[in-house]
Amino acid sequence: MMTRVSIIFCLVTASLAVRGQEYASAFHLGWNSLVPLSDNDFVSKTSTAGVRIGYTQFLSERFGVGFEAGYSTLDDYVPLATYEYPGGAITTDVYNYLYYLTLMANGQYYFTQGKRFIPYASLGMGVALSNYRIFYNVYQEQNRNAGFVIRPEIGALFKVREHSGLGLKAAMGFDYATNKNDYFETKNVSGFNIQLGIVIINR
Amino acid sequence: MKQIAVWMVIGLALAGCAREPELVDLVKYMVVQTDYDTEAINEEENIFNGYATFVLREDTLGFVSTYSNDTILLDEPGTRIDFVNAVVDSVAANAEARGFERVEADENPDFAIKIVVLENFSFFQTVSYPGYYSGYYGYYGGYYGPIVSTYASNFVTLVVEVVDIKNYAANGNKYNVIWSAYIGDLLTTIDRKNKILYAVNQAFEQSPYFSKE
Repeated sequence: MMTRVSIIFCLVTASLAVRGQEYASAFHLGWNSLVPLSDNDFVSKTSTAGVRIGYTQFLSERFGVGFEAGYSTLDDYVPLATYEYPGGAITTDVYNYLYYLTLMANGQYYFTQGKRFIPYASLGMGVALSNYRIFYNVYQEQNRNAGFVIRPEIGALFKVREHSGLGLKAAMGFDYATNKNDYFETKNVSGFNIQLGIVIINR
Repeated sequence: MKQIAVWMVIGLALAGCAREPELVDLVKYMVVQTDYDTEAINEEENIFNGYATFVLREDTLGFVSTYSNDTILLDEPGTRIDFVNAVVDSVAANAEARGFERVEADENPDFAIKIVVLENFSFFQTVSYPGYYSGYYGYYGGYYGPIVSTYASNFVTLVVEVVDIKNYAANGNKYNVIWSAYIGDLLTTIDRKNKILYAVNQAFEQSPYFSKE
């Protein structure tokens, strides 16, 4: 079902292409911050350890399609505590880590392709791979899973100079991934993200 | 060249994001896990209430290692193994504080306390996530020879077990382990001796049923 939605999404975006765009493609690499909004029992701290890399093919002055990979590490510390369970108890402090990788296709709408300022809105869909890992003393456990992710985003490209291909990219968006983890009792991965990076725009 | 530089930047960025906690932070506290036999300790009965005396070896700990053929540990002052007597004394003091009397092996004790250090032993571990799941990591042993299930590890773990002697015949000539404490990791910790002693006390602290009353 999700695959079908993704294909339709790409086809619709591509079909909106019209001629006359100023730019051909763009490549971006940036730092990503992720504020977790779901399952805060596992990780609640804002992650600043994230990276995004992506490619855009401009289809027209208004539309572009592309793909993007993102990787973030979220972590949290649970201070020393004793946990009781039937038949025993355990005392430890725990470091919770969530390694979150997204691979998605996206479609962008450019409000204007100005000389230096290019605002846009985009919608991305793809797969999210999550690795839930806990560390306590030298012991660790992990549980991996995959899910469908959707990411609406708004942002802008700022060209350093009018005729330069180099620019900056700033964006913010929302991730919702269906990655449910029974082992650690998490329901999904969702969060608000902010991206800052560089972009190379090719004419 | 440009492409190599781009891939290097990407590689560095990814590596920077794939973080793990620092070892020095991880080993700040030892993990203390205690398990009890729910058939012997439950809402209706507590086997400890029927005990009065226990036996515990003096000055030695059992030792199981894949590196060494030694079967016991003795204190070696000035080395990493300086905690043996302190651990034995601490376990004995905790048991006595719970109302039990320490006796000699030939004085018909009700239970034995066995303390073993497992070094680099393939150790069965199904530790559940505290607060999320239940389970245990364990090691199985009788009164004398331990039988340890396997799991690749190079951890060093202190295991304290209470073995039921009083009901040996009633249990079909079997020594049942009714309480176990697992304390680790002994290898990577800093201030090893004090942390082990703290952990031993914690093992008793989190086992309020371990009492004559």
